[in-house]
Amino acid sequence: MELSINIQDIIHVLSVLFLVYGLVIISGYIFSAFFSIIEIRDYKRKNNFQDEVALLQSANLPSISVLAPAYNEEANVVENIRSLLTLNYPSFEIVIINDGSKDGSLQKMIDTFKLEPEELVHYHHIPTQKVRGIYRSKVKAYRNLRVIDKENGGKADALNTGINCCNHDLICCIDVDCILERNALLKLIRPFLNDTKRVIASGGIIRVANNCVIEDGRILEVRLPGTFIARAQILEYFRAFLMGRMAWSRVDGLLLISGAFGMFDKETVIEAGGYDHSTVGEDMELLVRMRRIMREQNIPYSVGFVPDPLCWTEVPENKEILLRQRNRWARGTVETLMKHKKMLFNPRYGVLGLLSTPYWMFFEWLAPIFEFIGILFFALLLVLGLVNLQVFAIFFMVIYSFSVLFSITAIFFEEYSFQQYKKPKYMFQLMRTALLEPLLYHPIVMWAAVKGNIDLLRGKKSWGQMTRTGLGSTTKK
Amino acid sequence: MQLNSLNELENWPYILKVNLILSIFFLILTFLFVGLVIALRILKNRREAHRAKFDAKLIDFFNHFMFDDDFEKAPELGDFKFNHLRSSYDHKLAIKQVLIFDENLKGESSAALRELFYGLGLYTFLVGDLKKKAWFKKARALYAFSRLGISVPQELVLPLIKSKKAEVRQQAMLYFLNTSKENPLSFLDELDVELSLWQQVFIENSLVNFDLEVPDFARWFNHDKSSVVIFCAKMVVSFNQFQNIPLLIDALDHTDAAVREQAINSLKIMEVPDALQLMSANFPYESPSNKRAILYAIKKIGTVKDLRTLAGYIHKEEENLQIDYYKVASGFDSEIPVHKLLNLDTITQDWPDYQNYAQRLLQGA
Repeated sequence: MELSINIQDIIHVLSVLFLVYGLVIISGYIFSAFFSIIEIRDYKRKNNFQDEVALLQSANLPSISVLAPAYNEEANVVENIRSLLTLNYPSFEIVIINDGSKDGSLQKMIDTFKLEPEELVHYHHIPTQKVRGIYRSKVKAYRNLRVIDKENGGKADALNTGINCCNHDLICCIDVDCILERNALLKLIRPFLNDTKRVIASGGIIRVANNCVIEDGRILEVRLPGTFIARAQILEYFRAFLMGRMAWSRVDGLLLISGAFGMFDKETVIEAGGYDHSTVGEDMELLVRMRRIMREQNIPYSVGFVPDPLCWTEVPENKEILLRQRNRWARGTVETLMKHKKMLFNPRYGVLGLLSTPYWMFFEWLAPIFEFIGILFFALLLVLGLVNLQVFAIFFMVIYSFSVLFSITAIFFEEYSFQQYKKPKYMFQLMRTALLEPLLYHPIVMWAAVKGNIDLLRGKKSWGQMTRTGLGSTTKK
Repeated sequence: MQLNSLNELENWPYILKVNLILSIFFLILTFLFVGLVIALRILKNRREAHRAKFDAKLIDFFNHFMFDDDFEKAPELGDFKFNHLRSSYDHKLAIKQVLIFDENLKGESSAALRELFYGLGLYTFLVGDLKKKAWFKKARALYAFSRLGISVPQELVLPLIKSKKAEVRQQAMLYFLNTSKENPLSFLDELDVELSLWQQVFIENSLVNFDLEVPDFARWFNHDKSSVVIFCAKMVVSFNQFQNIPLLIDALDHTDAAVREQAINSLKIMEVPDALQLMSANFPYESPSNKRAILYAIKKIGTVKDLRTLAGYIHKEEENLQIDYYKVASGFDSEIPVHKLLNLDTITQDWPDYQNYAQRLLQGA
């Protein structure tokens, strides 16, 4: 009887905590939805009557260095480079950084693009692994291409080498296997051109390319992936980009520009010390560090975000690979928050200190842990026979209905903004996925995040292998 | 927390009541959003179908109006306006078609297109937009007027050059530029905010397509806003205004480093070796990026002697500048034996050797 009363009290306290936490999360999402819709609306209004053609004709546009690290990408690297070379922009260079690949990536690039070694002299803004060679093509059609061969040091090190060796003041860091829209650079550079303040970075929306029809490195037809895991990630990307990052951009609180596609002011990146080798979340960490430095030096600056679908990537369709990816993301988040814990709740950092970092701490880092503890507690109650099914049903209903609502809202945002999935059957498939996602997909990513935290405590630092099936080979028609 | 049936709801603990209410609320919202998604899809599809149909109608009507001699213009115009231009969306589609036609037409046809523009009431529609509060309507109206080169009462546009919204400001600039009969850049005199790069590019693009004489950029070299001076320094190059070279040389002593950098680059592109003396004199006091710009200016228009005079001003800790110096010196390779000083293939490995090389530079070797 005594035990029963105590447990009843605990349940009551936990119920109240659950309600409060839930209400905070709901408020966060409502805030997100509200600001994103305003941002998307304004973006559409700004861009529905003018185009970028004038930009293409200008010799006064800043030149861009596109940096793409490559590690063991022999299968797709040539096709990916060819696609990058066809980007629409008046002045840019493609810098491929071969990060000590063990396969024949380098030789394949040398043979295909007729590369020849050039002078090895380069800047040493950021310390990196040794550069073994710098190559440039003598063929006119590939004159924008440079390949840097270096000793293996990981993605962050490869990007830092690219920063040291590239020629231009704006850098666009991408994953070599991503598919960029032809006007991607023209659109991504717009925040840099529009703002009279110093723009330190701009990011774009990442879209899921699985099952899309691709030809010559271009998306010809947007299709919904065949697997449930990939479809669930589409919903996740809608929520993260169309709702989350758009809203954070509106309030100038963006903490993450995806490593797959982001543009940076080289000088600021160098001032900040470049990408950090010691974290697996180097993309988030760099932006947080850059913003922190700007705030500490009281320099007015801004970070841009472009909602157009500019970059398409392959997402994991296999549970094991997904678990590894999310494990890494979780570790990256915690590492970044720990590194910059000084910013948390610190009014000196404005929105970043009072909103963004607390949001990342509670909603991105701690939420899966709380959730996992909740499940363990529920299991304990179940074992002790203390679960009231009606109470359980009501609590479950509130969580489930909110999850579905959030995904459906994200689908609405997609319909309102870019409507990439043209066929009506895709829309209904996505709605069906929204119904199943909280039950079948969410537990996987929650567990991956929890495992990421455990691995971090154990001192795990590796990226984990991210095997891709390759977009070009699977969907080319 | 013992629960009975739903019929005894009032006896439930408040926490469960709240959760139940929230669940119902979320479910209702979910259905609402599903409805909205479907409605939006239907609306967009209908709009798309209407647009395709209406565009075809517009093209057909425009072609008849402009190229069919037997076409009875006045009654047909009235008829089309009355029967087809019903909504604001129809007006927008008609304006879009006018802009597409305008891009491809010149001379008499262009005049007929303007007649159509006024006849269909599109001018009145856009002037109405210009008077509205919504910034995007103002920007859109200005865009159409500026593309068509149609003037509207000055008092409607002049205040917009100082609009808080950058898009409106930009369209107002382009409007003045494209409708001007004499000085297309007179709006710069009124400007009290910095020009963004985006605005600079669009102004440049309009100037390239400008039929009348391009203005003398000397007029704005003393403008309060640095971005205007930078823009003018760029345009002096783009439009080969060699008469303004002395002003560019003066700009090498401007208080803003960004202006000085643009002046260095413009003088480099215009190949003015006379400017090198002042650049070299300023070198020790310049910002790192301007020092770099000066080195590359020497590479293009200077001599190895000019380069050597700067060696003593490159500090030991300015490693990147030393590399720039080295790169520029390599360009003079027939005259300066840098290849003998260093093994180019191992410069990264032999960084200490490179440091020694830099030391020798500092000593004026």
